[in-house]
Amino acid sequence: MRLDVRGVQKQFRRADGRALVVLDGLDFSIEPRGFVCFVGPSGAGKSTILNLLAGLLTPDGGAILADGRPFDPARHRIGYVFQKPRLLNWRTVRHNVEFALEAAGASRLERERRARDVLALVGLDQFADEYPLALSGGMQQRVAIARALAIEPDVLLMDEPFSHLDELTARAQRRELLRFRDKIEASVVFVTHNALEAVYLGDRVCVLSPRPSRIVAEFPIDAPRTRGPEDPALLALERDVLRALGVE
Amino acid sequence: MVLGFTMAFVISIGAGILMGSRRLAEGIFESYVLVGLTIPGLCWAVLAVMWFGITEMAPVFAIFVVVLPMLTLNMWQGTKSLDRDLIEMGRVFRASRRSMLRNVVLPQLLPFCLAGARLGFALGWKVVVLSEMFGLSSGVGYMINRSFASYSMDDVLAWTVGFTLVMFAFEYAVMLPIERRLVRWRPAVAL
Repeated sequence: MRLDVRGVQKQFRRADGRALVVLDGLDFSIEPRGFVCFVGPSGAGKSTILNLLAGLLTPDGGAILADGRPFDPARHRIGYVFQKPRLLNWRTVRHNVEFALEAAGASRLERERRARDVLALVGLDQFADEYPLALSGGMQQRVAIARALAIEPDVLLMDEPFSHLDELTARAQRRELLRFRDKIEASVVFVTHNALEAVYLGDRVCVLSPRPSRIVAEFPIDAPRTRGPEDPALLALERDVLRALGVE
Repeated sequence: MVLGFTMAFVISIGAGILMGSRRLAEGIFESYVLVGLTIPGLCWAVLAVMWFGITEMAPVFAIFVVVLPMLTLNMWQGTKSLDRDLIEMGRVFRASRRSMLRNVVLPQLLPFCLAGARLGFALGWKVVVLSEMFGLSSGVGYMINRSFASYSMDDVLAWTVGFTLVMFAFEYAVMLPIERRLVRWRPAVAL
């Protein structure tokens, strides 16, 4: 599904009543099955963008189009992976995935089949009947990813999903994500503050300015999918991204 | 006992959830709950006998009125402590209201329900015994009263111990098995 964001504005009301303008005329597009990474400083509205696409917020101005028509989040399947796993700790891994499938309207047989398949895809089929608190942080996040993928979403939103993991686990998870990236039909919006992660995972990296945010730079990533995380081409791109962020 | 308690339990769940989720409901019911908590069970027991006479209704009413504020307070606080992140997750995945209640909300309220049930049950029994002292011509309260009146401390103690054993039985035969089954998912905490 192609997504076009045109001139989107969003502001919030501060505690003292003043307006906090987060997005002021945001423009970007995602091609079908594209993987776009947003990098930006804290407060730049990265989560706001995701929440707008998820339907948790409505834009104050501008428009979001899906395949040329007005984007109605209620009519598309949205998969969301949060920073923390946000699993139901009192339900098994399998049931956590089935929870999302039930919400998407799958029949009981469909739910069981798809949950099984997606857990096998992320490598957690052995743990399907465990409870989340018995799993490590990385595994819990994998369950969250499985949950989002299970519903075969049109749009997959990922909000710094690896930022709360230790570096070793995060590296493994990123590699895993690339491994089954081809099985993902959705358009992916991945938000991170980690420039190297962004150039490693994405087809395209968009750099956000501080509030009120606009896109200040876009970098297509030409490196092949079998890229290593410290590929010299990627490191060069990372430098470009950091420069655009005003950091290098 | 069962009737009064069950009525209080059911209503408190609804009222508590309502108070926890809607500020308007909280404002309206808060004072009733807090005042209700402070009126001694004894007063209610006496009032109940005065209003309903020496019938079965008196203890039922007294139990209901004493237990309701406590259970409602429990459910109210439980609802206010619900994990917002999980509710947001449920909304993003478009879970139905039924699915949200069953999978997200009620499991989080369960510890509050169990705590409330235990406290409410214990409190309810005390009210029963009090009511029996005042009115009925049978029951543990009546027997204790009679034993006391005839200076028979052995009997008083015997009835008290017997009563306590019944409470133990309830806890071990009913509450603990329920609780154990419902908290399988929690790993042990080593402090």
